[in-house]
Amino acid sequence: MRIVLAEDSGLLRESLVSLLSHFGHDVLAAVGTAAELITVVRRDRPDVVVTDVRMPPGFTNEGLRAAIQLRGDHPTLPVLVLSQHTDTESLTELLATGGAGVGYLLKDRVANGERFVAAVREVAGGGTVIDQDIVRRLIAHRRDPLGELSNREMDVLRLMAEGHSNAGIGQALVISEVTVSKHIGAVFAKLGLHADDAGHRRVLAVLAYLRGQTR
Amino acid sequence: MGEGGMTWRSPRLLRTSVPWRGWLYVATGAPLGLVTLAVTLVLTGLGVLLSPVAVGLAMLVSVGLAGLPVGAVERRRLRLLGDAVAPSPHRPLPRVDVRSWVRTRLRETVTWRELGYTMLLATGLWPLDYVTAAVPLVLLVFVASPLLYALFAGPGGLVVLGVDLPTPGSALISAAVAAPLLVLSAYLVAAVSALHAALARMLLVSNETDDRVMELVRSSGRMLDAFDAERRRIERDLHDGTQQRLVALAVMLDMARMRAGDTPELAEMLTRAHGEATTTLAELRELVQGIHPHVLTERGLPAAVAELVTRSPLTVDVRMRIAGRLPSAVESTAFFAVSEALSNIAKHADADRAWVDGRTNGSVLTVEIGDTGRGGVDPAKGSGVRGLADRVAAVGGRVKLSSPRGGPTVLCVEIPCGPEGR
Repeated sequence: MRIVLAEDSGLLRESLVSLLSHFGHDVLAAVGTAAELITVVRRDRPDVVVTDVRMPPGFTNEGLRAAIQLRGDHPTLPVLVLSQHTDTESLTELLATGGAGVGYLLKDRVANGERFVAAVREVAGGGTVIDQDIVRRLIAHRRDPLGELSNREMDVLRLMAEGHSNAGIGQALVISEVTVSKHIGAVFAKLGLHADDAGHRRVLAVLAYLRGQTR
Repeated sequence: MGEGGMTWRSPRLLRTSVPWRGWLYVATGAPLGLVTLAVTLVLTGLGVLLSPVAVGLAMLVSVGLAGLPVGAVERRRLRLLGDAVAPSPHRPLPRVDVRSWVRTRLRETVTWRELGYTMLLATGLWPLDYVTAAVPLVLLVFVASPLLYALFAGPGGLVVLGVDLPTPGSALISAAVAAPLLVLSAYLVAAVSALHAALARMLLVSNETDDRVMELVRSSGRMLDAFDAERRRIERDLHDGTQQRLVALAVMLDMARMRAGDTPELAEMLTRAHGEATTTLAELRELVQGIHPHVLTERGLPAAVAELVTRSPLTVDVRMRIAGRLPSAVESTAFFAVSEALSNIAKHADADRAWVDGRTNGSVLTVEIGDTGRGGVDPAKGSGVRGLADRVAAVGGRVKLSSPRGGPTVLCVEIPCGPEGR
C-alpha cells in the first residue's frame, strides 16, 4: 500500500513509519501538520491516509478537519483517523463524509502493530473500522431501533462495525459463516436496510445507530 | 406578606393602582373558584361511581392532584397584584414516565398545600371574591341612578336593582349614599384581595426550606480559574508529551517483539513489556480524560455531557438549553458537578434512570441532576456531594439538594456565568 501519514510527534511518526515499512508498505510521506497533509495527498495520491486528530497549529482537531476536507475533494480516498479520545461526534462527522473507506481508532491501537496494519489495510480496501471502545459504549447505550436486535445480533453488529469480515465474525463468536450471514440479514431487516443499498449496508447499519445515539 | 398587604390601609390607596389590580384579582378569582368547584365535584362523583374500574381510581387520584393546575394558575394570577413570577415549588421531573411523576407529586408536601388551597378556593374564597367584586359594581349603579332615572324613568319612577326610586329626589339620595360607599368599597376590594393573595402566597409559593431543600455552601471564592488553567496545562502536557512517547514506546516494543521471534525468552519479555506499556497507556488515557476532558475544551458543555453519559451505566436523559460557550471555569465546574453526581447516582442511589437538565437564564447557569432512586442523601455524611459543593462554591456558585427518603434526589447547581457574575 502507498500510505501518507500525518502525526505531529516526531518520535511517534518515526515509529509508525518503521512499523508500516516493516509490514512491507510504502510510506510516501510522513508529515507533521494538517496543511502539509493536504498538500502531499494532492501531490502523491496515496492508497490510504493515516492521520492524527490533534495537530498544529491549534492542537484541536486539525487532522480530522483535514481528513474531512480530503474526503470532500476525493470521496473515495480511504482515511484512517487516529484519535486520543472516543469522541462520537467527530466519528459521526467523519462517517457522514460517505461511509466506506473510513476508520476511526484510538491512538493507543497502533501499539498492536499487527492489528493496526490490518485496520489500515481494511480501510484502504474500502472497509470501515470503528474503535471497539466506541462501538461497545454505543451499543451498551443503544435503545430503539436497535432494541429489537437480539444479543447475538448485537454482537454481530459490533464486530461488523469493528471492521471484521463475515469469516472473522464467525471465528470470534465461534459460529459458522452461514449463521453469521443469517444474523447480518436479520440485522439489516430490523434496521430497515434493503438489498438495493448494496455494498454499503454494513456501513449504513453502523451509521444507523451512531445517528440514533447522537440525537 | 407582599406590598399589597401593607398598602391596603393607606389613605392614599385611591391614588394607587391597588384597588384596580385587587378588583381584577377577585373578579377573576370568583369564576376560577366556581369552575374548580364544578370540576372537582364532577371528578369526585364520577370517581366514586366508577371506582370499581381503574378509570374511577385515576379520577380520584386526579382530584388529589387538582391543586397542581390551580396552583400554577394562581401563581401566575398573583402577578395581577404586582408580584414577581413565582417559580413552581415542585421538583423538576423532565421526561420521566407518568407513573413516577404521579408518585413523586403525591409525595411532595407542596402538592397537598396546593390541594388545601384549591379546597379553600372552591368553598369559601370564591363566594368572598364574588361578593367583593360585585359590591363596587352595585354601588356604581346606584351612583349612576340619577342619570338612569333621567334616561329610563317611567310614570311610576324607576326600579334599580330591586330598589324602588319613585322620585328624582330619591335617586339623588341613593347616589349621595352610594358615592362614599363606593370609595369605601375600594378599601374592601384591596383588603379582600390582599387576604386572598396572602393565602395563595402562603400555600402556593415555595419558601425554600420546605421539602428539605438544603443550600449547602455559599461562597465567593475565585480560585478556580487558576485551578482550571492549571488542569488544562497538565492535560495538554500529558497529551502532547507523555502519551505520544508512550505510544511510540509501545510501537517499538511491539516491533522488537515481532523481530525477536527466534529467541523465545526475549520475545516473552518483550511481550510482557509491551503489555505493560499498553495497560499504562489505557490508564493514562482515563487519567487525562478525568483531568480535563478534551470534548469539553473543544465542543463545550452539552457535547461533553452527552459524551459523559455514554460512559455511565445508567440510562440518562439529557436536556441542555445552552447557547454558545460559557467561561471555561464555569464549563469545567458544571461538567465536574454532572460527572460527580452521575457517578454518585450509579454508586449509591439504586436508581434505574437519571436526568440532566441544563439551561442558562441570563447570567446564571443552572444544571439539575436527578434520579429516580431511593433518596435520603445526607450531605453531612461525607458523601461526594460535599466536595462538589465546595468546588461549585469556588466559582461563586451554589448547590441545592433535595433528597427526601424514597426519592427522588435532585441536585441543583447554579453558577454565575454572566459578565457581572465573574
